[in-house]
Amino acid sequence: MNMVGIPLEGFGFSNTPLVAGGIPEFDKMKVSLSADATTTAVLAYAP
Amino acid sequence: MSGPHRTEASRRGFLTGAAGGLAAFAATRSLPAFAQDPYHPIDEIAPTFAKARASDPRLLAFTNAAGEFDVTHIRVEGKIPEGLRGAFYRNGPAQFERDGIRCRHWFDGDGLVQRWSVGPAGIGYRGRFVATHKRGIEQKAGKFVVATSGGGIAIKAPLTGSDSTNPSNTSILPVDGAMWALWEGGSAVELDAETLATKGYVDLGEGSKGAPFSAHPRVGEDGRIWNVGSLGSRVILYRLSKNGKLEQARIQPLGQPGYYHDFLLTSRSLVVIQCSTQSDATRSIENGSFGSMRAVPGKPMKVHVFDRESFDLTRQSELPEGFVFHFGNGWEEEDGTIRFDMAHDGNADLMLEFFKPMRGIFPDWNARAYRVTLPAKGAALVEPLQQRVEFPKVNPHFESRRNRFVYMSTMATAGRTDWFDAVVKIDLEKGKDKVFRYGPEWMIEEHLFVPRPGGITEDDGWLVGTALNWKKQKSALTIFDAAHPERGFLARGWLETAMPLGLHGQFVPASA
Repeated sequence: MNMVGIPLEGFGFSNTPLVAGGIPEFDKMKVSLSADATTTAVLAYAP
Repeated sequence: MSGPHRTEASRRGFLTGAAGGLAAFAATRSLPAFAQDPYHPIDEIAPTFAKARASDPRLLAFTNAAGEFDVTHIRVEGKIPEGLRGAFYRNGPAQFERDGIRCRHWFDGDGLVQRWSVGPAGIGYRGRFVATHKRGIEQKAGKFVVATSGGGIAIKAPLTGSDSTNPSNTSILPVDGAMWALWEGGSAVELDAETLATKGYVDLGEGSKGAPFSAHPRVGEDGRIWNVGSLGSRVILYRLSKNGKLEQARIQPLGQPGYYHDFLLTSRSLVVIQCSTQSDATRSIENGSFGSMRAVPGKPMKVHVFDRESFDLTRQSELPEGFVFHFGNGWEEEDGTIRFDMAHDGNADLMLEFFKPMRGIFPDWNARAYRVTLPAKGAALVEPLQQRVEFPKVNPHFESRRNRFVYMSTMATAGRTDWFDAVVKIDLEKGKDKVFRYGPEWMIEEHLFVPRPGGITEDDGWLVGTALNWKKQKSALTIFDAAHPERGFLARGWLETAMPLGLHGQFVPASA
């Protein structure tokens, strides 16, 4: 994190929601697991 | 009030808006309905502007720049003064439309840096857009996809850091042989001083990377560079070596929300002054930080004085309610009295005025020049000077020292409120003004003081500035004797085209 709280390294979220200035809503990132499954998170690098 | 301030990241908190700061609005609340509503549907901005422009040639000032180009020798009237050699740089928003969509706020256009080289061989011109991350992805997409300070754009690109949205369009600073293009919500962008090619974002070091670095750094008498980073209810204080290496950065709380754009540097202090505004954090992504900023009636402007070495808070004070973008210069006496000038507008909703040009309406420029005395103890003394002014500048050799003269753009044509058409030299000690009237067919930009090499007296030098002649539909660089601007110009270089009005500049003298 830099001094104002922005991650300095890439970060990402499951379901790759559009990152709009903060952590996306939980519902946009949640993954339902009824059996073995695979999900993908794409890392976005600043800027 | 001193001591390190813990940073906080909240759910929607780490990036709330563009210019004006990321975590800027963490401690604010929802605002009541706005008296002035800047939220015009984004699809209507471009047609509204096109309609207004069809009958108003002045609006050329807010259209997309004709492009990036070079002119080796532009046409020069008069005689370029001997001794004036170097390059005049100016940054400003210059691309407002893509694919039929127009930005909502003037300060959202992509930054175009213009370089007017001046010397015995004549005047040359070069213009280049700052190749920001934002510009790159929008050129590829063929449309606007990035969040802006004015809001309204359909956001299609991730907002992962302050430089995601940085248009790098506000000012420029020479640092160690390069030029830094500046905005206020993100990093400086380094440019080649000659070619204007973009080299990349300036990384000041681990903790400061990507943090807001404002558009009005001030250089001390020893060459060190001070700046602020706007976080709304907090401030980042920066001190850099003269080579642009970070010496110290510290976040200080301000105890209240309130926008600030510029600051003052004296021989001992750094003075941050918050406008009478607050912001609505809940809507700042969609509406932008400018669209979320509102006047708070009855709230005075708040003055915070910090020690320029330790960054400890030394005192606080108040100024009359309103809004200030710019200060000319400040200095400090032995007993701690701080004196400065400011362009103060009683309308604390001033940021909203600059939504208007995008719809083809001129802003109401009402800022007045004031001389301010901030005693070590007790209330500030605020004395009015010239009306309808902006862009105060002083002799750079007198910055952070006692100055007598300040130069500003002003309106000299009776009844005019749309744009500046004159430059004024204000004598802060005798209260006398000297005015050069460009005339009603002109819209003038900031004018810079360039000291005469070897000059000693404060007004020994040249005043150099750019302006747009809307009748001729051409931009020009004009050079005055700074001691007597009222006597008329010494030289003027004409570009054969008009460039959109820019914001802040710097004159970099040629070495040797």
